[in-house]
Amino acid sequence: MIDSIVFDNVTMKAFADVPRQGAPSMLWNTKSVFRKGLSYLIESESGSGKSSFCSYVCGLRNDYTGKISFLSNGTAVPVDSAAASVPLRQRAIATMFQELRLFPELSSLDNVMLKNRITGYMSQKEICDMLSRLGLGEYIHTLCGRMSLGQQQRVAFVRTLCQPADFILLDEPVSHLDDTNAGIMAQMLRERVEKDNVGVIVTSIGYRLPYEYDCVVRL
Amino acid sequence: MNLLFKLLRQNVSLVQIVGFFLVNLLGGFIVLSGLQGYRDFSSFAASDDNILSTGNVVITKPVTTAQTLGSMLGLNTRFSKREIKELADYPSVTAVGEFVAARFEIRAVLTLGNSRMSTDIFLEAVPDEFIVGEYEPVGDDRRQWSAALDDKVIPIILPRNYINLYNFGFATSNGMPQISDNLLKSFPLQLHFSTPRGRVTYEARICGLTNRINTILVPWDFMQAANKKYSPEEKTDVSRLILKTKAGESNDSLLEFLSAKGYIIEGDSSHIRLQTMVYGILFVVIGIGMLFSLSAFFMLVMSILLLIEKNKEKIANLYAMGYSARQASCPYLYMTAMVDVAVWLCAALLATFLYPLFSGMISDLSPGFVPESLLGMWGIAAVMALLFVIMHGIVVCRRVNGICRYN
Repeated sequence: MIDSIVFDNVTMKAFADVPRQGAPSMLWNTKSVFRKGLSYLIESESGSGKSSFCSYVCGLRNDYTGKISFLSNGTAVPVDSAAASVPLRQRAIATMFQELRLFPELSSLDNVMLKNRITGYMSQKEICDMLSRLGLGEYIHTLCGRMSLGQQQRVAFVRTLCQPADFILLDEPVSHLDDTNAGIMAQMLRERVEKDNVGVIVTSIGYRLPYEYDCVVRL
Repeated sequence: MNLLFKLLRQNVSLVQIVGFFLVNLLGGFIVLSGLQGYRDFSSFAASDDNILSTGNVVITKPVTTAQTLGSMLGLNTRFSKREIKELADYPSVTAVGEFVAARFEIRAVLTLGNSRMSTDIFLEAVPDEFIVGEYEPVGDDRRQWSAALDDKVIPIILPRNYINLYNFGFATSNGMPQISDNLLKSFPLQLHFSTPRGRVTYEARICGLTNRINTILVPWDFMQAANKKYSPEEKTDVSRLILKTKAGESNDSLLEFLSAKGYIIEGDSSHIRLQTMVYGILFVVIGIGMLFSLSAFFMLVMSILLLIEKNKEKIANLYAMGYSARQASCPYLYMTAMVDVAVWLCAALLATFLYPLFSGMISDLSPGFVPESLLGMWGIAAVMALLFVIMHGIVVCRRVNGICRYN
């Protein structure tokens, strides 16, 4: 179980030689701690490293300097290789990617089930119920490739919830959603937080997921 | 697995898989049949007296006029101890035996009704290990090849060409009846040994005929004992040797070695050349089969790498959502393993049904040829399938691991 994620003087290698314009970042080149049970909004304009931040947290990239630590009761959980990051993604960090990473040749239900088959976290009925709450009840057997971006975003959100997690990481989750669906998504997230006391990290370039954030981080 | 397979099986080229299957089926069939043929042939060559047998090689030194004239001066056709050791040390020679001749006079007497024929003959012996499998028993005579001095009956082996000479030379031109092998067995043949102590008579039992050793043979122990008891002479030098050669190996180099030494091979060495030729053909056949199989192996490697390349993004997405590299590899591992096992299974089945047709033809031509069990061939098929599965698995895992890493 991960109870906090510590960014210690971390910066993207791509930023190393580029002098920063404007106000200093609250994340890069400083010490930041993300705690389980709290919610964070990471806000900035495009190109300031939000998606890179998400990739670093879920262990998909390591092109940074500084140190990222995953702590469990104050003890660092070693995540020092690509292979070691796999259990992190399966059990601790649930990520909704900005680019969604859905499989267009599979139906919305199959996309979610494909993840659920390795986590075994939900029943098919629960998954169908969640898809229905987000207005996709009639589209569970529709291929994702034939769905709109907004529908795909909702499928990706349901897939993100299909696993045990200490942190839920949502990279621009409502960029293609209307207020109603964004509200439903926020409500489902609240229910999950109440149930598991997970930490929530949401990124945004302006249009936010309507949620009660404990902390807003400007990149 | 079903969902994952459903996702990753896309872009699978059936044409490539079928191509691999057919080429490897052909290669596998040829390899398995070739190896089975090699096994059968080796066992055939190592066992009975037959035209293809490795058998034994009898060698002498050439008799020249100079030697004839110079025998009094010490020129002779005897083998020295050094020469015998040199032969024994030759890699494809497993044993060297000496011919021991009877050092006393022998008269053979054949009584048929009222007529009595007799002639002087000679007897020789070679160590018994050279006799095993070297003669064809007359009738069902497979009794023990041994005799003691005080036995009344001693077994002898005649060269087949003696009988052929009589049947097809003497008998036909003189109106005499020809002799069958079975009749030969019942011939009342007596051997009279002239010894310093008087005449000693034995009944001879013709127990076999041989194509290889051109002399009349009696058991080794009997000959040693008879020479010791009936001859005052000391042991004479050896002028004829018998060499046992390794089964399952080409003996061309031995023939060249003997020829270079100036030794003469008794009888016909064509069986050795024929054996070398058969081994050569088998190696070529197995080589061609291996070439087919290797081509098919790399064909599947290319095919699977291409497939993984086409699905690279999907594998990366699976990895991002929590799949390990091993889990993402599963469909490919499963697919290659299924194809590999299926192809070697089919190749073994094909060889099981088709090889006996070929070996049956050989058996008809050469009755001594008895095919070995096909179990060994199935074992080889299983090993090859396992090898293919492991090698293809390594290729798949390495490539998928290459995708599932830090970006």
